[in-house]
Amino acid sequence: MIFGLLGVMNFAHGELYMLGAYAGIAVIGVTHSFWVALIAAPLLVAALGAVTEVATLRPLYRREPLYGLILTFGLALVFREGARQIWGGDMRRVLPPVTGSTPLLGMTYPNYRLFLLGASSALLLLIWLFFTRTRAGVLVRAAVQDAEMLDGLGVNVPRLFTLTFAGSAALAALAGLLLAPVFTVYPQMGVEMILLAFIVVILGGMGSMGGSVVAALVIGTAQSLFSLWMNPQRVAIAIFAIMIVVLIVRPRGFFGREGVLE
Amino acid sequence: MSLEIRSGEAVALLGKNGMGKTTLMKTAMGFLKPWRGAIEFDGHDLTRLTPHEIARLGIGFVPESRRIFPGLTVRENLELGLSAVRDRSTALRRRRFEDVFHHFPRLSERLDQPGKTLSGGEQQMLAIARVMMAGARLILMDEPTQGLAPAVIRLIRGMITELKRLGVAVLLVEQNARVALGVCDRGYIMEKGLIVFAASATELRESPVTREKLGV
Repeated sequence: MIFGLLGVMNFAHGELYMLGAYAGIAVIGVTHSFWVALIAAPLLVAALGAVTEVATLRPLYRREPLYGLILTFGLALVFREGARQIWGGDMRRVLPPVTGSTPLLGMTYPNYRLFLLGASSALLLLIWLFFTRTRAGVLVRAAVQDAEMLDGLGVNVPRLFTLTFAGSAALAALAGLLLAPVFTVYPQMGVEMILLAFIVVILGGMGSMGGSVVAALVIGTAQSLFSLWMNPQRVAIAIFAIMIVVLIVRPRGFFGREGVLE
Repeated sequence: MSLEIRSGEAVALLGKNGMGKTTLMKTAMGFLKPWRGAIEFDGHDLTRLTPHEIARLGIGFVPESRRIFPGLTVRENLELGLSAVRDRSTALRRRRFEDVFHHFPRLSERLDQPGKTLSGGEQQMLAIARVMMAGARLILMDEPTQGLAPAVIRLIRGMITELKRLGVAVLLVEQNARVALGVCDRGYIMEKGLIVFAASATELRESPVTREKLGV
C-alpha cells in the first residue's frame, strides 16, 4: 500500500516492526501488561512513523523513486542503530501472555500460536473491511490510483499520506510485538522479517492483498517442509530460489496486475 | 492575460493545441504554481492555496481524459465528490445523489460497477457528476466532449445550460469551437499563453478573427 500510494519501497518497514517489539518491552516494563503494550506500542511507533513521513519522505515525493529507496534504507540504519544505543544489542524475550498448549491434529500446539492464528486472521479481515467498507479506506485506494485528482476533489492528500504511513507503521509494530514471544527481540530482527515480507509481496503480486495471503501460506508451508530436510541457511536459499523461479515464469507474481511495478 | 467569469455564465477558452489553455486551468486549480499574477475567486487569492483548499472554496475540475478512479465503483467515485463539502449529512448526500441521477439517469444503473467498465461517455458523465456532488460554484471543464458520440455531446451541452440556470459559472476549454460557442455566453481565444481576442459567443461565431486563429 505504501509503495502504491507514496511510490516509495519502504526499506525501513522491518525496523518499524523491530521498534514495535522494543516499544512493547518498554511499555510492559512500566505497566506489566502485554495487552496494554499491544495498544500503546503501535501508537508510539505510529507517531514516530508520522514524524518520519513529514520530516523526511514528504520532500522527496516529486523526485525519482531512487531517492525514497535510499532514504528509507538510511532510515532503517538509523532506527536499527538507535535501538542498539537505547536498548543494547542483547537478545531479549517477551513472555507469552497466553500459556499452555492444546492437542490439535495429533500434535500439541502452543495456545499462544493459536492466538496468533486468530489475531492475524481477525486483523486481515479488519484491514479488508477498512479498505472496502470505510470512507478512509476508499480515500486511500483512490489516492493510490490518482492522488493529484483526489487533491483536486477536496481531500487533504498530504495528511492522508501521513496517516497512511503512520497506520502502516502501527501495523508493523503490532506484528513486532505479537511475534516477540515467539522469536527473540534484537536490533537486527527486522532485517530477516522484511526480506520474507518482500518475498511474500512480490510473489503474491504487488497491490494484491489476497495474493499476499496466498504467498504467505506458500512460503510458510515451504519453509516448514524444507526445514525437515535442510539446515536453516539452505532453507533461506530455497525460499529465494522459489521467488526467482516465480519471477522468471510470472513476473507479476500470483495475482499482481501488469504494470504495477512500472 | 486577464479574464473573468461571473456566476451563471459559461465562458469558452478557445485556441489551438499547446497554447496554454490546460496550463491555465491547472494553475487556477492549484496543481501548478504561477510565477506571478493573481487568480481570485470570491475574494480569495487562489495562487496561495493547495488544490484541496481550492476545491473546498467551491471550484470543481473536470479534467481532460476524465481521470475518474477506475478501480472504484460509480458510487465510490460520486462519494469522493462530496470531499469538498464540510456538511456531509445523510440528507445532503441523498439530495446530491438525486440531483445527479436526475441529470444522468444512466449512472444510477451503474452504481456498483467499477469506473473502468463504463463507456467513454459514461465516464465523462461521472466526471461531471462528481463535481456536481461537491456543489461547485465554478466548474473548470477541460475538453469534456473529446472523443464522444454526438448524443453524449448533446447531453453535456444540456448539462452546461442547466448548470448556468442553477447559477454555476463554467469555464470551458474546447477544441471544438462550434460546440463551445453553442453553449457559452462569451469566449476568449488564446495564443501562446496570451488572450488575443475576447468577445460574446455570437461575435466569436461570426468574426473572421475566429476563423483566422482557430481555422474554423
